Amino acid sequence: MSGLVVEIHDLVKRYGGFTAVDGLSLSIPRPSLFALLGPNGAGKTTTIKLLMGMLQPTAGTVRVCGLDAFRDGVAAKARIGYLPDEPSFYDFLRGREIVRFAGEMHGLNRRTIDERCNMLGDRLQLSDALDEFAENYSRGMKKKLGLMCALIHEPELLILDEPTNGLDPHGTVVLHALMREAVAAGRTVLFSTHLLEQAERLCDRVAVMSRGRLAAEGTLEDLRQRFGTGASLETLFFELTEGATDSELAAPPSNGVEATAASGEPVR
Amino acid sequence: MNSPSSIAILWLFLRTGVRRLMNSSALLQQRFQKGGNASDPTRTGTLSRTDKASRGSRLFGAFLFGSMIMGGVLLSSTSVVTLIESARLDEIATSPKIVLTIDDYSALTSAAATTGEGREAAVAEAIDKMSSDWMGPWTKGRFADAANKRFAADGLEGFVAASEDTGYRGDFAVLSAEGRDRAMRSVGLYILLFNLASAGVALVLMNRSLAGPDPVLNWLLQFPVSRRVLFLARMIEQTFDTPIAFVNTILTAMLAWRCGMDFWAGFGLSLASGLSVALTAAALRVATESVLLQCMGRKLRGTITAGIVTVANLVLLFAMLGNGAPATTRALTWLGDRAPSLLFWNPLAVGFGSADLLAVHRAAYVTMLGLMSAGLGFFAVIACERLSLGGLNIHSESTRTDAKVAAPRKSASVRWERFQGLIAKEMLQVIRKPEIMVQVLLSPLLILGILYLKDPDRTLGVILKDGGSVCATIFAVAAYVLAGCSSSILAIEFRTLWFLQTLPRSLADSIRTKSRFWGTIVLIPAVAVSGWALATQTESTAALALRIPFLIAYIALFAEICFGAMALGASVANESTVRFRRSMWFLPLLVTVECSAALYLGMIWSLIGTLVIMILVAFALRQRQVAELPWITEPSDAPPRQLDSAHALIALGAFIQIRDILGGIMQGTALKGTEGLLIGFSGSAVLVFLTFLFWQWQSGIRAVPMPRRGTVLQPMLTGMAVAVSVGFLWVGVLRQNIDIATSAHATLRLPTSLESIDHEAVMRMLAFLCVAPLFEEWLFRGLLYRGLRQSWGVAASVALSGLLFTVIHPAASSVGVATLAVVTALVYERTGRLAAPMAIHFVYNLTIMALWTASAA
Repeated sequence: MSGLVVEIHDLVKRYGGFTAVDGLSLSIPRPSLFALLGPNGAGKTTTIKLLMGMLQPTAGTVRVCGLDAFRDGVAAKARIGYLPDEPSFYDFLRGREIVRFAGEMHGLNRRTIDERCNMLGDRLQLSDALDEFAENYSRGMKKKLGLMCALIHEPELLILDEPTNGLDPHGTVVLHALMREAVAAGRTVLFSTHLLEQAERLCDRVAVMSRGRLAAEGTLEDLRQRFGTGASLETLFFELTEGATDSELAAPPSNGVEATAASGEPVR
Repeated sequence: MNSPSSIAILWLFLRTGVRRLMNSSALLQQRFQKGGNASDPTRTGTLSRTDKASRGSRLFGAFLFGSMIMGGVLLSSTSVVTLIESARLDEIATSPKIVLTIDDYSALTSAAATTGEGREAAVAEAIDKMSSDWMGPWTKGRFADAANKRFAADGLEGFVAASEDTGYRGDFAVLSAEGRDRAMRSVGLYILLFNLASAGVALVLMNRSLAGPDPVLNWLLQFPVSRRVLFLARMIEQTFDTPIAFVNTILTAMLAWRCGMDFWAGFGLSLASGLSVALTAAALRVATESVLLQCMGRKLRGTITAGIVTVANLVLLFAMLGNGAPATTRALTWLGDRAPSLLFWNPLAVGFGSADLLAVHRAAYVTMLGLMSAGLGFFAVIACERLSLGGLNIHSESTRTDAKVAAPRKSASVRWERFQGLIAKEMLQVIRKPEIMVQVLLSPLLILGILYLKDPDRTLGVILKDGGSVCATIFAVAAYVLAGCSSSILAIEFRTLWFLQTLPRSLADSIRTKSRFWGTIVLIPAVAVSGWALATQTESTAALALRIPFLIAYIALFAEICFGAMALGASVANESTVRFRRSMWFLPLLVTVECSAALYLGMIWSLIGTLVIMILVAFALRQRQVAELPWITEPSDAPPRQLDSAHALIALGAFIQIRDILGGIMQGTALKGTEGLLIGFSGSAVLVFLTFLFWQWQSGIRAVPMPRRGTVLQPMLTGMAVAVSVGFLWVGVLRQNIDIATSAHATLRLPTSLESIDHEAVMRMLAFLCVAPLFEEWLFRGLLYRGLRQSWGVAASVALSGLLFTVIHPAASSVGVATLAVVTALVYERTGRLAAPMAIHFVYNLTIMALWTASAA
């Protein structure tokens, strides 16, 4: 098996006339803790959905653990744990039942599920609420429950979309610990965030996305060296995404106009 | 308070309310959450299929909505008429003379004046004519009985003409003042019941906003408006959220006109009453919503709303279906006699209850009605404002505070341990969602119960008539349940689509598992009931034994078709909004009709044919699910849709239905017999073909291109030779074995001389030599075969399309027709041009007709 968990090659994703991801190439070795950075609307969530096989690429390839994410989606998903930005759950299931269902769908037996569920529940301080209907959970609790579902089958690749959004400080600490443990166990964690400080503390490697393109990628050391030593990640980030900010200030709807012009449709 | 904001919000709610009324697909929520218009290229969100809803589907939606309202009005007006008639029957029983309208009386007088033998018959006919205008299912017979008896006893003396113009029409006109009052009271009670039920349905609609946080209200709170304005705006919106205003207006107008009001006065009164009823219902709804939200925990709230849902559904079903029954008519009349007059002085009873109100004091009453509903609305808004003094409790208020966190329930978990994964989840869904249980699983039983109540002999008698009717009923009920639960269950599933998508299995697989689970759930009672029928209905054992295997196979396949079609018709707008294309109901509906008819008739040929059709549909849907479901959240990128075998089967089903309906209609006209059937055949073919072309043009769906290779002439001539020679031999065989004059082939004749060319001969030649070759080849080869060969290969597609082609033809001609089907399909495959099979079909039909003409001569 190759040493790469994620291989993205010339990936393009268009929604109608709008290009969300534009020629992205990225590879992530195993094990690693990898952060996807970028301002809002940079295409992070779309990239993650493409990795999950939820969307089909307009062009290019996405391979996860050596499998095509869309065509071999079923086999790929067995190796991935996924936490969306805003998880929503069945309104007729309790937290524990949802975790159990997720585990059973991944082919685990009841005893293993319950063991892991209790362990994770205790660590995330969700045990008390596990017998409550998940629909009543607060945002942070839903996030924790989603995290439990994502971790229950100990996946090779853990994909977390804005994982700390809505989490309390304790939850954040536990989440970071869980991420580090996963990497220590030889697995890979990919997460998107716009919290630079978080990325700085956790990651070996980061990728910065801007307007659907890859602005920079590498270890933090690499990036620092490339853009001048001593620069903080924040400075780096703004340097990398600055072009976009400037043009947006100059011509507010530039994004749409550009996309329209590129796709050859008449500008309305 | 900021008045521009208030006006903006009121205007917004008014607009969305009217929009909801006109087009249920344009929900307020969606407008806010998606924003922008669909053609905006900068939108990063998911494009929903509903954004691009075609004009056709909108028209279809409007049509469904309109027909639903008209259906409600017609059913209700039948019951109102029955109530008035029942009051008249009571009056006839007690008064010495039967009052008739002047026309009816003169008709009776002239009938009685006839002398000799025909007198009795003429009188009976006159009486029958009087009662034939009556719409009530049972009152008609009772009136005729009573009138005939009276005539036999007292002769013409027993009747009297209505003396003066009372200002009332219909049955009201022949009632005495007291009788009118009684009738009005029972009608008033009925209208109260009906409006309460409609208000209950309006309450049902708030279920969604009670179940979780209401994103719209939540969002609106950020604007500088007072809560009073917010609630007022919400009430205005909800006034138009249900068809209650429409239904009530039409119903009241019909009654007002019966009471002798002129057109515009009746219309004005009914419009006023319709609006006041709708406003009252909205006030009730807003107030209830607020009370439930502010004062109760989620569990209690859920229980109460589920209760309202159930009761409202039951009452509405009863008000629509069960009211005309003798027992309920009597009950309403009895209650009307005893109810205090004050009861009718509210908007929901619209003043019926006192004959004076509508005739004399109508201006005063309309004013009262308006004031009352406005007052109720005002109080509702004030109450909502008061209740929410401590802030609007519309966020996802935690229920963890009131629902104690329970320790893991060991016994419950043990009980479910043998169910794994999906099955356990589905079971929990059934158990924990009482509305699914009630609405889907119990409603067919309720409908059967109400029909039984209405006329015990007819319901059970019809169902238990023979094996065919038993099986057809079982299937229809099963289909109802499956059709109902497929959309409600898939809606739940698609709201958490991300979750399904992260699981290591394809969406098509998940949906198939679901359909199997629900198919099994429905199959268990179906098998039990049919087994019971087999055991008890000893006289129809053979009929049942033939049908039951088909029944089981039909139900199992129907489950898959229903879920598959619904899943394909779903569009996921966001994590809480899932919609289903209405046109997707066509397929289950057609299949239901087809299967019920096949089970009812019990002809082995049609049973097999229907089974083949269902298998084909199920496989076509599976294929499309694999291709199309991955795009469910990004339909803007969905693969171009192509014509497939399912489209051919829909066209075939529509053709058969329309042919039979047209043929049936023709039997009632001057064009009876064979000519009518032929017109039905050709008319249906033309209609289906044109509709299909129009739909194809509208939706832009293209057919898969057929490879064209080689010459046409040689394969066509070879095919013709084979088909014609087998047909020739088969006609020879048949001639030895069947009676030509009585067989179905008697119609297959050509005119033998110029003089014998009549209408029927022209129709026959048109149908068999022109329409059949063109239409059947287009359908079976151009659509079905071409669709099948995409995934099944040539051999299997020739066999399947040939089998279907054979079973829809008469059994006697099977060998010839089967050969024709195989030959034409092969020639089509070889040439890629549809003209070749059409030519072969034409020559074949011409030969067969010539042969039959010759043998008849």
